[in-house]
Amino acid sequence: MNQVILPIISIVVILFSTSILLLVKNWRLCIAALSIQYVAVFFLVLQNWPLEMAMVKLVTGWIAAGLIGLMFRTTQADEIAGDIWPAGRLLRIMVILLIIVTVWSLAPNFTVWVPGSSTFLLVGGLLLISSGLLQISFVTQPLQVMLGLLTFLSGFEVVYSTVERSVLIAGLLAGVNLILALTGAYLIALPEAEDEI
Amino acid sequence: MSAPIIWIVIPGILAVILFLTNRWQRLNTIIALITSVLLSLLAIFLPIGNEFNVAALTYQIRESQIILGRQLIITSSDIPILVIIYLGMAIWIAGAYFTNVSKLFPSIAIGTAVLLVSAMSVQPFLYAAVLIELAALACVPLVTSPGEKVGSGVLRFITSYTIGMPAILFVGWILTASTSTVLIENFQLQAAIFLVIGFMFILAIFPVHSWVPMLIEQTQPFAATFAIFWLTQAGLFFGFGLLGRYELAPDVQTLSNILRIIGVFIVVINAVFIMFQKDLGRLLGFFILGEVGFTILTMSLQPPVNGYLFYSLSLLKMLPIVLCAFCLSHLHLKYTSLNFRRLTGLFQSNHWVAAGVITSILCLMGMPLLPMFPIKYQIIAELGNGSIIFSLSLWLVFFLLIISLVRVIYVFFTNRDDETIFESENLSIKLPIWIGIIMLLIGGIASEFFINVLLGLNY
Repeated sequence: MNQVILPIISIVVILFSTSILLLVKNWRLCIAALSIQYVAVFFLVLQNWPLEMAMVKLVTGWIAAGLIGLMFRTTQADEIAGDIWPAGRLLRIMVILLIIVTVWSLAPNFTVWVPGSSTFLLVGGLLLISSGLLQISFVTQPLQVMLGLLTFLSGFEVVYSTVERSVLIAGLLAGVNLILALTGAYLIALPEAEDEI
Repeated sequence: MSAPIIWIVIPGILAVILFLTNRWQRLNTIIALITSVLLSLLAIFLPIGNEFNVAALTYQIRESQIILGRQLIITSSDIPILVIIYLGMAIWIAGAYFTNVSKLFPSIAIGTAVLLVSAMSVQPFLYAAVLIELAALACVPLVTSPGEKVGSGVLRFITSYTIGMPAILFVGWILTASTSTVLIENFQLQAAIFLVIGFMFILAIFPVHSWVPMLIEQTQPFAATFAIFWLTQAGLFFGFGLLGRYELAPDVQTLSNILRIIGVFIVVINAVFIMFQKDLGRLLGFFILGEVGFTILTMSLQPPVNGYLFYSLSLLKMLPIVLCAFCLSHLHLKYTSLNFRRLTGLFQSNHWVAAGVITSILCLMGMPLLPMFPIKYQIIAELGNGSIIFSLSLWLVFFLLIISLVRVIYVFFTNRDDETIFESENLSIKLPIWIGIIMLLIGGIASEFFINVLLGLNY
């Protein structure tokens, strides 16, 4: 039962969170969406990994989201600056729909590429990868780029959890997530900083 | 005592200490410089894996060390990599002292060296991609400045390595799985696709190369060149290691041809880009990318020539790149722009900076009497034996680079029409340039001697 319901709920959560990340400019909502996204990633990774290793993903993700949120709070801006591509929200919604359709139709073929993985897990992973790449491609602000990169990495980790169960690689990837978030926080704070670290 | 403790753990601890005490920049630079030189000398003289006697006592440097449940292995075959990384870091740290780079430079340079050595020694080898990504993220403080907006080059730089790393990790799984089962036949195409994507991002190969010229143009040139040089070099070490460990093609000749096509493509496309540049920073960026192509060409040759030329080129190309980055850093500090229009008539007041830039370009082109001449000549000669097209392509590259050089010389020697005044050079600028030019000339006369002594390679 859990093998089906939990992944489906996770996919719905991922759809919801990635849509917020792509459509909304309010940073608080974006950080909240990223945090919720990591819960979905946790449940997807739990399909292949033991609880304690899957928890690493959740805790790392929350720390990463917290770091970025904490640093953006110091800039005292409610909304992420800069233009959001494309101009109309309607077009962005259509791009999200296009991603969903593409991922849904391609995921069964990818089960041949990644033996032992379920279609649900691949749908979740590929949704995260494609929406992360989309976000990276069309934004110029450090916060949005970092959110996109963290989303992309989450997607990769979901797919990779099927084939790799090494503790070292889990630790290294958690380290990459945290340092990426630290770098993001550093880049967000940089324009207002007066001196080096 | 084990080799990973000497070349990874101890300098790793030192990098953290230097990071925490970054306010004492001069002391940090001296400590980092001495450590780098010492570690490169240890790599040359310590026999890894064999017993040796000191004062009637017998010692042995073990090759492996278990860290976090995985093995780090440094063998005697890794000596050229250790020497290139630590001796190279010493050169970069010395150069950085005379430029206006971040005070974190010594600690980040040592930290980067540690991550690169770890990347080359971690088992399974394909985990190296994660360590290269960490090295890229460690370089971010060098290419950003407090109080300034973050440029698109920095964001693209981070993005490139973050996208490249997962692709390589995924190939790692395919290759590991294929050694025990028949998966290789089913997954050959997938592995090739992910490998190409991964290396395109890590080595900044066209069309995902745009961050390289942007980074040098938008940030401090010396720091940006440091990051670009070492991260692409890490990708090259990684790629060369992969060739020795996995069967990436059905036979040696096919693999060699694929590498030659890729290498020639990179060299030609970057030579074309170089010809159209009007900014010295972007020009240096494309020169570094062109050298990536030449290094890939050395990989395509048969052993032992490939190893000899690969390590020699990796070491010797560093000298002109550091010298050029140093000169550009000085120009960037004084005139804020490296555009040809701004630097017209530079030779009138900055003889040595202009001479440094021109000598570096001559060396990167592979001109006689300079260190890269014998290596580039040998690459062209070896490729010419296989195909006339490869040979002609490289001569075309040489022709395009000569046009670029003539343009740079014309810009430096043309008299300015306006009243812009250039500041003259002081000794802190001239001295490192003199040392750099002398090193290039000595390297040109006795390059084989240095390769034999430093890298322990004979051909």
